Amino acid sequence: MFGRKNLGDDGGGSGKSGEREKENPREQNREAHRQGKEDLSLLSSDQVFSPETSSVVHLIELRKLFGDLVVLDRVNLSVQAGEVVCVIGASGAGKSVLLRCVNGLEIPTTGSVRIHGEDLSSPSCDIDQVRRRVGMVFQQFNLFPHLTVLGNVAIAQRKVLRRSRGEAEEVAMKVLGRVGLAEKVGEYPGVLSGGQQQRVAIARALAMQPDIMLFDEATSALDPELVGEVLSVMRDLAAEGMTMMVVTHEMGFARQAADRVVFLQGGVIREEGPPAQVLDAPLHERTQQFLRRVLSR
Amino acid sequence: MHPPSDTRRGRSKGHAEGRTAWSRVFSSADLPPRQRRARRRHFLVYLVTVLFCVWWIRSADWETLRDAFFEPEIFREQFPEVLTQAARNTLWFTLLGFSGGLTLGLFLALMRFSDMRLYRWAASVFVEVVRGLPALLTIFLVGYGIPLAFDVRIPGIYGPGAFSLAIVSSAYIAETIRAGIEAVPKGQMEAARSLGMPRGVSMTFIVLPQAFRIVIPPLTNELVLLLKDTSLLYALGTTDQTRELIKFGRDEMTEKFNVTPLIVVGLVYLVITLPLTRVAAWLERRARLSRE
Repeated sequence: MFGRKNLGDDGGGSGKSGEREKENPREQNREAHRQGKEDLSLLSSDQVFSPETSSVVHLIELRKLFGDLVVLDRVNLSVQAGEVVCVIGASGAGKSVLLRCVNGLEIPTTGSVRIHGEDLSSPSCDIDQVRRRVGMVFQQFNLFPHLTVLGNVAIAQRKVLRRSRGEAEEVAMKVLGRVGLAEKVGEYPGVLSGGQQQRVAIARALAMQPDIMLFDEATSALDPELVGEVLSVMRDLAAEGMTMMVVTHEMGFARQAADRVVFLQGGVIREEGPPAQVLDAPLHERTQQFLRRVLSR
Repeated sequence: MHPPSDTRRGRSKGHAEGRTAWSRVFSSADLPPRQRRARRRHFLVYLVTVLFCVWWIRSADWETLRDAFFEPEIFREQFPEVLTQAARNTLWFTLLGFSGGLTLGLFLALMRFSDMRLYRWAASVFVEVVRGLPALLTIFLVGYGIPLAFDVRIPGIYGPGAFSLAIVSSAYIAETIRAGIEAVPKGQMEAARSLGMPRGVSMTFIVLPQAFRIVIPPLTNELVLLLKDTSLLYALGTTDQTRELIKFGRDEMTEKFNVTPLIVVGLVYLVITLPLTRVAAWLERRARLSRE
């Protein structure tokens, strides 16, 4: 049921090809939890993933066309609870579209996206219901400029989760404290630095207590000196066991925080595996070329 | 032989003195040459303009003009009715028409973003037709046509007028609001949707508040235009109760055989519109600053 490309080998970094069949991926994943991801302090109790949870995200034969242009071609990918998957590749490789398919911002031409087994394309699927559990962080932050930092983090809780104002703001204060911005609650996004804005955006998504967080080039729009503060928040999240899909150009982050790295090229997954393998000993020639270009910068 | 050269020297001396006095007034002597030339050119333009205006004003027949346009006696007689009746009616028509137009315009704008083609189509047909017709014609069609077609009376003394003004302004307001919604970055809607907020909720709490902030200045201009369009309501026929400013001015003008009432009416319009346009300009400046 996990498909051929399912990789649970996030614990050991065994360094083998992504095609390898796993005996028991769930067992592997539980291993990963035990090894490095016991600290779940950020997540409330309902987010502690039981090992019985199967893949959080499951993409099956995903194809996306823009007119005649093939953006994604037969992508199969699944992400286990607690896993951190980094998607790398040159611009135009389809990374962002892939991520946007996961929460239904893009609708795949064919193939299916399953979140906790629920097919997004099925008529009975309530996309808003699914999106509550899928947090997304955008390259351009997309904070709501007419609301304060507190309002930004509280509004979806109030309108979607029907929390009272007091309750929503309490949660907001907690997550804002987590990203180190508790003293900025009354400010409007416009006066914050890019790094601070992006951290507010992360807090805004976390306030909905999602099962998985999607990061769409979260640091690409930032000045170099502000990248660190955002990456460190993301690293903390990963360490606390959040399931994450991260589209990034930060190879250092991928190496440190990822359980698995997926290299996308021309809408096709060319290579995937533990960071040590994909980043340091890539099998595919395209991956080698890409990494040479990126790392020589 | 010598005297002419003397005079020439004398003249040039006088000229030089004049020039020093000149540059003291305009203090252009210490300016760089290019600016000095510009200064001189500007001065010439101003001089010609002022001379022309003086000539123009002097050539007008002020005596006759004053008798016809500004008879103090008639001027005084316009008050207080011009304010208590005419201006009051104009403001009521504007206010009611604008509230109706704003509500209807918002619906039309939202229809244009509907995922149902029928709504989008219906809204654009309505907007295009109303915008394509002269306001007078629309007022006429709505004010007379709807009661005839559906055998209803639009209630209230302001009803028919306000309703037809609402129809006219709704088309323009719909376009303004649509532009405002489009000016809100797409990422705002995406961010709201990605948090699980349904489309309508995202529109109401995220996109529209930002869109309205953008369109407040153009909406203020829309209000001023509507205020002036109330003058077209004479097409629907008026009673003493519903006479607005222009109708009032015209009635008084025929009665007094004098244009003074229209001047009074014009001044009242300016008293209302000038502060409004100033406010619009201020809002626009503020919006621009906050975006930077």
